[in-house]
Amino acid sequence: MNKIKKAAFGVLIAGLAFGFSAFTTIKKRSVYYYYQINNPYGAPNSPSGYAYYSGDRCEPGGNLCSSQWDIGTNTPPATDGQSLPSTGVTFQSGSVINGHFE
Amino acid sequence: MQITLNKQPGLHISAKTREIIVDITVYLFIILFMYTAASKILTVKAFASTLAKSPLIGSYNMIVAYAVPIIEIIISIVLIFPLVRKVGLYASLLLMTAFTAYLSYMVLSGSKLPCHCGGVISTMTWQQHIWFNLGFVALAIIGLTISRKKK
Repeated sequence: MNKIKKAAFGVLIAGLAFGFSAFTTIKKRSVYYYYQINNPYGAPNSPSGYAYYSGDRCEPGGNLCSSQWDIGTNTPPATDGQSLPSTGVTFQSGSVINGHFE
Repeated sequence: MQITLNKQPGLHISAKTREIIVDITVYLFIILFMYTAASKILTVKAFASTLAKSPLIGSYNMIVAYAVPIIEIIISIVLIFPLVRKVGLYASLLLMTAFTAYLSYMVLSGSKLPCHCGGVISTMTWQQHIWFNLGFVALAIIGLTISRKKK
């Protein structure tokens, strides 16, 4: 492979990697981290007790700090402390972060 | 009695094989950097808030949150061009070493570890991240060693 072909292939690889990453990240835009602030011993997939916070608010210790929820067509959370809607939301399995809300 | 010492030949790798190994190394770095840079840029607020919790970064979180993906994209661009890819490999080695040193410091110092890893390869634990990064450090060293032998 000559140098021009190598560079062209490099551009292709770079574009595909960037595009794939952007696609998978944007696809997850209706998925948000919600923090369990009221019911740390409850089932992680039960929507009660969860609230939205924009930053990373977990601290070590405990089994349920936050998990990801797909809020579907619900309005995206705009402010910290907003509760997870009780309907139209889907728990994302394997997304539980251990710890506890700060 | 005469003893003849035959010099053991080193591991012989043909020039073509070396070239292929260096090419694969370069493409793997391009994939890694472009994939992670896109993810970091598109979730820059979450990435910055995670960095804000780090005792080493703290209030510089916004600068670092933008600087890291920009540096990754620049290195990827340098790696694309065969004439300067060696410079890109050195930069990749430096960046991966810096990432590994930061992760190792965070794990070994007993600092409170932020729970989310900036949305990038986020299913890995911090320890797994260190091993992953060390793999890429080794890959950069192999690439550089082989490209040096090419001449």
